[in-house]
Amino acid sequence: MNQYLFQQLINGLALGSLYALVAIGFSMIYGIVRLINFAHGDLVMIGAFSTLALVTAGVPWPLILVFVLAIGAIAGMTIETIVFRPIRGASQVTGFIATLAVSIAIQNSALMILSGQPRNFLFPAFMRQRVGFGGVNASLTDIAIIVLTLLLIGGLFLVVYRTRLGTAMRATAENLTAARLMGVAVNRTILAAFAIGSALAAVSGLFWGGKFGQIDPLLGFVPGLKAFVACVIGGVGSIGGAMLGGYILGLAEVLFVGLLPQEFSGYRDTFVFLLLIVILLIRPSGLFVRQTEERA
Amino acid sequence: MLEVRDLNVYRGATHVLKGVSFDVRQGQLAALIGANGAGKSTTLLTLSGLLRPRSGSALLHIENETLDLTRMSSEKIVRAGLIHCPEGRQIFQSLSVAENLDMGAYTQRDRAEVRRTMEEVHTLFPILAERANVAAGSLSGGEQMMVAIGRALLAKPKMLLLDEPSLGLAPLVVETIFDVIQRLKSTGVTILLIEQNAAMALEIADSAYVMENGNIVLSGTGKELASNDRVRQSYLGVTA
Repeated sequence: MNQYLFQQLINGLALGSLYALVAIGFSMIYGIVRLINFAHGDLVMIGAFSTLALVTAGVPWPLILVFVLAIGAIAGMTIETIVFRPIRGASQVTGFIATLAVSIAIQNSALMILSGQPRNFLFPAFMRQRVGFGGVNASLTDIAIIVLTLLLIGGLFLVVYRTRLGTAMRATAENLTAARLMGVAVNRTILAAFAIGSALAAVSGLFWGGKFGQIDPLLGFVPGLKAFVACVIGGVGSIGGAMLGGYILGLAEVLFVGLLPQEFSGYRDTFVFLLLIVILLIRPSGLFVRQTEERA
Repeated sequence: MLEVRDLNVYRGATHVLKGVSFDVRQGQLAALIGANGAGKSTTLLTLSGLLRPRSGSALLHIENETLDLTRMSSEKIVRAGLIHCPEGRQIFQSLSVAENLDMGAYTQRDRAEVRRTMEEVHTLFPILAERANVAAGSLSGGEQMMVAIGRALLAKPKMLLLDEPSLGLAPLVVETIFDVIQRLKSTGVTILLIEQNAAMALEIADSAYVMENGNIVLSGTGKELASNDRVRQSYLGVTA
């Protein structure tokens, strides 16, 4: 394979992995509480800065990965418990505004504590190496992101489709009242969805720092927005759809930059949103959801 | 087994249940009949903890315990053995038939016992074993009702609340469902049944209550109500 194409493919898959991880949590949370959670992207930032703090403290990398998952889960559960649970049952607009408020609160607290100055992400030098396969090569960071993301998503699918908790989560997402009649402690199931989704977002913050090298308190905005787009492309509320939406978005962005003339590459987001509009015109409920009524 | 006293329930600003009182004795089948909007479903939703009454109590006597359902979470009520099979079936359409039945057994810890009950349900409704891995939403209405009842059975009910089990089903399926209800009763499960099909309900009921505008207006045995003139005219379609 041509080195240039291969490089673009790996790059797109790595970027798509980041979007997929954020989009999956976004979709899980929407699926279960019908909340468009605009604070979800800020968990990426929390994950990135937690990683930086743990690296500075000298914690070994495999442990950092575990800690970042745990920190994300705890942050997500905290937000759900103190902000979203009390307004459960309120109108969707109330919920939506509450998520914006949480996002603004997180971003500004981070700005006050950490300052707006971008920081260098301390990633081990060997991760910057390139590894070759038969005439082509790719960065170890990108490969690690792609492989770890696949493992995490595989684990998630096992939880969601093969465990009692996962079945209860899917049942609650489909019909909350019926789930309560089965004796499901619905609040605990919702908490679990927030924990899992937020853990995945936080770990994508670790990857984000590794891939781009610099982090700042507002970095969550872009992945949050892209996750929303990925969900809409794949069909909001569907986990598999969100994942594929993330990969499509990542690959599309890289392809736009790679294939369009140089002077357009600064506008790649324009093309991304054009793609979104075209997909919504053709398949309003997303690419991977059967065309049915809007899930109220 | 169940003692409902002076329940007052509001939905929004509407006073739906206006001091409802009735009893269901252990091992009996009680029927609650009445027109649409009389408050029958609201009564069941209050008993299963999904609605909170403004005042009144609903005492469930199980073994040597007395529980006030109006103060318990729906989760605890299910664990206590009061199972509600809701109106419109409310099965999980996107889950497989097997997963729906598993959800019924959600509170059950004894896996061997769950397997035994699962076999009983499969014997009762062989189609559920055949279609175990199919999305429940793709089944016919009658089969979906079987999923809903099977799911309730897997929760090991001591008392079962059934809301309109015959609604929208073909007569043959209705008969199957009523057979199962009677068979359940013979195994000692106490049943509170809401039915539009008042004739069938009164035929199998030990006791029955007629509800109008949020009040119980008549009560008696199933036979008594079936021969009551007012019931015959309003609910059985017999002209005087």
